[in-house]
Amino acid sequence: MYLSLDRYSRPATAEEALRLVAESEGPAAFIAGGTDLNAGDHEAIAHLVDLQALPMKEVRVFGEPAALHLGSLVTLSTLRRHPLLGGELLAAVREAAGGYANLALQNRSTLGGRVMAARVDHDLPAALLALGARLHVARLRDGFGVAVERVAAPEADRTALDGGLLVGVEVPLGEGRSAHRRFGRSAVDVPLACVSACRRGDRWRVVAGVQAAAPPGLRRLRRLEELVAAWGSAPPPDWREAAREACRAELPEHACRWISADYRRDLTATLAVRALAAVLEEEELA
Amino acid sequence: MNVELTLNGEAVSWESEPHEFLTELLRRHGLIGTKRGCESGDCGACAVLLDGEEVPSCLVLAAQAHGHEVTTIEGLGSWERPHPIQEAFVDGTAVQCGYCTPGMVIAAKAYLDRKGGGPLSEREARELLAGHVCRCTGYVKPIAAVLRAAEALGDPRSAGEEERA
Repeated sequence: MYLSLDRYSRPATAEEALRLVAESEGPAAFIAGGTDLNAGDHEAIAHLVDLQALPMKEVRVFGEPAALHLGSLVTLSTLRRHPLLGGELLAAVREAAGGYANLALQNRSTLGGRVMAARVDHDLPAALLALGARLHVARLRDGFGVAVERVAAPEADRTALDGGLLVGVEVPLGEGRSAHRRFGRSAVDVPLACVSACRRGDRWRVVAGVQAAAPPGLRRLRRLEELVAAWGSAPPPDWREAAREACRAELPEHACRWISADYRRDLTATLAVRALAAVLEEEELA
Repeated sequence: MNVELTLNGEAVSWESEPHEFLTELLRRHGLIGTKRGCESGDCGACAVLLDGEEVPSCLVLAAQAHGHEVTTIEGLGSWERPHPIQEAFVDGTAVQCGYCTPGMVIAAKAYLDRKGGGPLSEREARELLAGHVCRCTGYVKPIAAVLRAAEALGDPRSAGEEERA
């Protein structure tokens, strides 16, 4: 194979995991499901720190107002099937998880892994950002122990995650409806473009992830959100065209040697219209 | 490093290296029903059951499997007593060159076990086989074979899983 690993560790705590990476003599990285292990850029890793023994597989509702806690080792299969992830509000999460590759990879791929791969794979991060999720990131404290920070799911700027260990995600619950739409070159490719939309009362969040965009990462389509919110519960008859134009105007310049920028903008706008239609109950949730 | 796991119901303890993947570990020990394919989790040829769930063994380090239960195609049935899913593939001539077949059978086993009975729709059969690439392009008969297997496993007159175990 292509790995030059000479060390494998399986720590039992977040602190131990963070220390193993921080104090490793060669290049070190965390491994959760490992589904990106052979996908490139991992040849130089000398030390893998396997997170499987950490208690981060929990799915539970907590707090007032209620929020859903998802441990970062929760697999995409669990996100698709878990009873606490039923209902219209969390449809985007289920759809994003179910769009990933195939069942075998969904059994291995984790929430944390997909969030950390957000520069290339936007599906699940887009859904979490649309739902207003917050990330729980553990860091080593000066002295000893770890501190857990709550940070907003990031858009293009992901520096909030640097040097930390994602231990879980918190999704605010309540009334609402969400949808996720994607397009990839094949079932096993990361999406060329995807859009997640979520409506909670009058508030909308629409998030686009476009491969090869500059800067990379996700972006909220705020003008589109304002436009849709202004329609209230009665969108005008030509809402699809208006939404498409708003989306196109807001998407960034980007170029790719495979496909033109115009094509990607059109594709993303089409996905945005479909996601909005699903939230507006004009299309079914997947 | 030493990798200890339960393989096809029996405890094994094998030497491995940190960079070795489960596919290679299994094949080095003669379990060659698990095939090498794309080595990126896309083709399904290397599928095994890890704690009862289908996984691509080309993306699981041998070390990651330490302490877990692994079932390969060799653990499902034998020449004398093939598993009902294997019988369905044979009866339905759902095999061409056979390279992808172990992975498809493993996928069907995982899915049908988790489903725990009841009728299987064609859509489900297609979904469970979606991660399995057949270079002979034989997809129609495996779908029919999986549907036939689901029917057979739901029929109390067929050879039971419990009896087999």
